[in-house]
Amino acid sequence: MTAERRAPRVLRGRVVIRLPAPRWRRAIGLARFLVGGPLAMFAAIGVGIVVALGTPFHEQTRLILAGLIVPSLWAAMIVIVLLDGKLWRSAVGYTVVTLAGFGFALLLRH
Amino acid sequence: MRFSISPAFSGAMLSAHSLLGVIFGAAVYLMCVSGTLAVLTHEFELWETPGGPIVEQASPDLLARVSANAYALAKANRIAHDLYVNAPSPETPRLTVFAYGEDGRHLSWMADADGRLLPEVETPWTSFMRDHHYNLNLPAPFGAYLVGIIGTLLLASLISGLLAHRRVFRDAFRLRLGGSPRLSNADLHNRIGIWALPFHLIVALTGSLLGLAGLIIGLLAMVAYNGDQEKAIGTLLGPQATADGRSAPLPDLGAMMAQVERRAPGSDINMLRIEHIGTRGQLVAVGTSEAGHLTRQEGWSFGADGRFLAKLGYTDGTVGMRIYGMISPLHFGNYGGLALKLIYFLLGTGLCVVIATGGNVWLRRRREQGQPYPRTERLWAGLLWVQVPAFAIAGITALAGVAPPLPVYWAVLIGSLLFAGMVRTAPVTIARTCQWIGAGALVVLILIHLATRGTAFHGPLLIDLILAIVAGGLVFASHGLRIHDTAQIQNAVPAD
Repeated sequence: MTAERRAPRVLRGRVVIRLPAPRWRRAIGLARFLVGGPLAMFAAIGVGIVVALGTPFHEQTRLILAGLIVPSLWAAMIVIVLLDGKLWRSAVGYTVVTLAGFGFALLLRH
Repeated sequence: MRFSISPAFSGAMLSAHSLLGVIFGAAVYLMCVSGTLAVLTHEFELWETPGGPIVEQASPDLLARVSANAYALAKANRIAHDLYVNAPSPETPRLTVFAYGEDGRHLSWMADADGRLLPEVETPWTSFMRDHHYNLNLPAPFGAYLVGIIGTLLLASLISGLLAHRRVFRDAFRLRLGGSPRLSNADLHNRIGIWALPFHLIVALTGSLLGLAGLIIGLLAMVAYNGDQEKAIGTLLGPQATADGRSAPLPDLGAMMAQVERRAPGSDINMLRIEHIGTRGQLVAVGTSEAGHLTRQEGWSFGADGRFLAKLGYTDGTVGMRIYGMISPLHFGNYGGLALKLIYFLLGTGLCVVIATGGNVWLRRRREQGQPYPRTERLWAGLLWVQVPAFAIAGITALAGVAPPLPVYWAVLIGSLLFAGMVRTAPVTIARTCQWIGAGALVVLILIHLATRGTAFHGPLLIDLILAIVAGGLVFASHGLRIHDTAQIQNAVPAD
């Protein structure tokens, strides 16, 4: 019985994510997890808050729409984090969206 | 139709899709397997307890009598806080009652057509399988949150998978089976993924929302309602029971149901819920079947004094309430009878195949690129194919009363993964071994069921038939693997 050993094939027309050097890989992986996980979730909830409070629909409809938007948007944000080679852009964008959403709620409260 | 996505974008999207699958594929797969089974939860309950009383219909008078009897028993056992009465339906000809205490203890009964309460026969396997899907058998609320997060990850995988595919419409009918295993797996992955995409999106989104509802509503309530979560819940679910604990008699349930019948002529009452029962703060919720609506149900609330409080509006309320009423039926497929449930079961199986083939494609590609992960290949094959034996052996021990299903399932799963991780054999051998064990376990399960539960009526036999078909499918798959991979086995021997 033999082990398979083939030469790597070049996949034309395909962009392969360039993996960072091993010593940074774990740190970048953790950062990606934090941006795509908790930060993206809070950003999605921030948008949900705007929908729940600021859209011109019945209160029940606003809450349900907000509830549906949060997981959909969170999923999309996870994809963006994995897609974008420049993680800082996602991190900044999601932070701004989170602050805007929660800030909007605070403004309405006062 | 020309649908153009740049190669660079789809390549990057494919990398993102692969990364999601590699990291979270196993968790999503476990959730989809139990979700596919959970579609038939009511049928499995009947299968596990075929000897229980069959009640085809329950009149309001019978429901009121059963409620009063159950309340008396629950009160005697000091667990009378909330009472739930589920009326029989065409799919589930059972009249069941649940009583919950403030401390979480509960009692349950089956009632016969005369209103007599009989101790409910336990359904350990069905309960385990349902909880596996609802909360991964973890404590509330964290299990449900984890399930919701897995649903979100499935949604992210679906979005990235769709956008990674550059020729969705051109390749819609391409299926290259029998050639390169990677191409066969990729075509199955893409074809099932595309054709069943609406179903996959619906179950992922509704599952994510159902799992994360507590967290999302809690956070929205904290910000939008100054932390008043009860107000947020009340906005959606109507009036709630209050904390007035002074004792009060059981309200006149018959009069309430008569009022519902006047307000909604022709509707069948399918549920009674009495919260904070026997107190001045009690609230009665009456549910009615609404056959012409996707939501399948309407809700009516009454106060402790019998006064009508509100109609929830799942059928004719605001857009939000109508959508809210559809979320659960859309996720579990219980809005079109048994035929639709079987379609959901097949589509759920398709989703499991999509996840399985996705992992296979990634592993095959690594191997073709000269960077194989032999141990991961074996673990993946083990995880994919041990599900049937694990659930079946857990079913055997539960039906035989030998051991509870939860530890048995995890023992079989973990044991198989340890074995797959340690032995140096081809993944296809692990897959075929699991398939044969799974087929054998299913046959034993059917025989034990017939021997211990009998064949009282046709419902449970349907589950036995489905199990027999799955066992046959496993034998067929094993035979297919043998033919398909004869030429590959030499190459697939691990090199770790």
